[in-house]
Amino acid sequence: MLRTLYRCVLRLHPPRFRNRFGDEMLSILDHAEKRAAFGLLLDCLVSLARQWILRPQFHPDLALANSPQLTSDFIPSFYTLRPFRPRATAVIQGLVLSTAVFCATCFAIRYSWIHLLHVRIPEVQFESQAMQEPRSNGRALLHNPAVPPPSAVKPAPAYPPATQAQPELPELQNPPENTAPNSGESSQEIITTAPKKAKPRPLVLSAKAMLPIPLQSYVGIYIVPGPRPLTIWIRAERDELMMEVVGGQKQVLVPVSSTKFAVYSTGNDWVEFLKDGDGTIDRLQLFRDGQEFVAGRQR
Amino acid sequence: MQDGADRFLPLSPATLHILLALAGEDLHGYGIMQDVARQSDGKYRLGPGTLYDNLQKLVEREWVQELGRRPGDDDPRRRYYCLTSLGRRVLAAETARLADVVREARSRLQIGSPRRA
Repeated sequence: MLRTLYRCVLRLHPPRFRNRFGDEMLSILDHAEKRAAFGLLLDCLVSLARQWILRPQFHPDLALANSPQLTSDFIPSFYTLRPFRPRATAVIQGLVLSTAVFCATCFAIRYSWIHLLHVRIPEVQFESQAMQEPRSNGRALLHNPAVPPPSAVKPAPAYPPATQAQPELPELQNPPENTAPNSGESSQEIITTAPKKAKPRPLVLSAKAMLPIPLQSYVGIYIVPGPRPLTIWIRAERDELMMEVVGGQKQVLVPVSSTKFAVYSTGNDWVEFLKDGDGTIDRLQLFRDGQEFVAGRQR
Repeated sequence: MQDGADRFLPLSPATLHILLALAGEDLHGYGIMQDVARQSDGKYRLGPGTLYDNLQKLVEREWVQELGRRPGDDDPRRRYYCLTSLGRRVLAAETARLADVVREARSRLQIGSPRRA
């Protein structure tokens, strides 16, 4: 039993060591007294660890693999690069050093008085299946003749970069003239296509805390001119700026600068407020689905 | 001194005992183990793992040469080993170093011992 175990441990040794000394070690076990056999087994276990951990320079099998492998027609089949085996002490030192540097970095981040790393990164919110279904219905309204004329629409620059995944969105809808949001026949049709249940939105840094000017400076009604004007409502709710295109959902605007805002729920759409000579915001540019809408503010 | 053998000093106890065992005659592994135990009156015993790990190292350094099997041996698995000239020089250098250490130790112990009135 002990001999079988000893042979198993011997088999686990590196091939070179095992082929060279395995028989002799087994011979010593056979000649040793029975009461010493257990000590020899322990010695063999220690030797196993020592050969694999501390004696990598005596493992020539990989070096053999470096020699070109000859096939039957004596053509070398492949070559491998010379293996690099770091010393065990170097690996242990590297491990200790890496751990120390990692701990020091964590400590510095936690207790440093320099707070450059306290950057809030907005969370990414992906559209769920429940949100996409109503929008697929909304595709039927894509060719609504009420869309503003091409003269009021021009291609918009991509912001953020167009490489980002862009979920499908309903086109801007044009309600009847001079009607409030969610009222009238056309609005009723749009309401049925809107999602019934609003999903919970993760907390982001409030616009009020980030903007140098009060939110009320942006609040108002903005109208895209045309035969059938498009109305955009900008509201301030709970320290956040909300945009509502008439007939659509309310959308949170996340400030990028004092005049540029990203539409939170889409990620690709954005809004820019334009000021007149007095510094008062009088227009709004909405970049949505690759199109730009310019809306004047109602005074 | 000793053709640069000093740069290998000091030797580990296992290496010293193995070289010392092979200095007298060619031995196989089990013989080396028995001789090491005899040198130290049984106080220092080498296991096979330690022995062959050191033999591997000594053969690589060319202090010890492997002679192979001997037909007349009672166990055909045994291989014999002998000391090379380089190994003998290293052993001589280590012995001289140890002799200096022993002499210095004896000298200091005599100075440090309390004098009798």
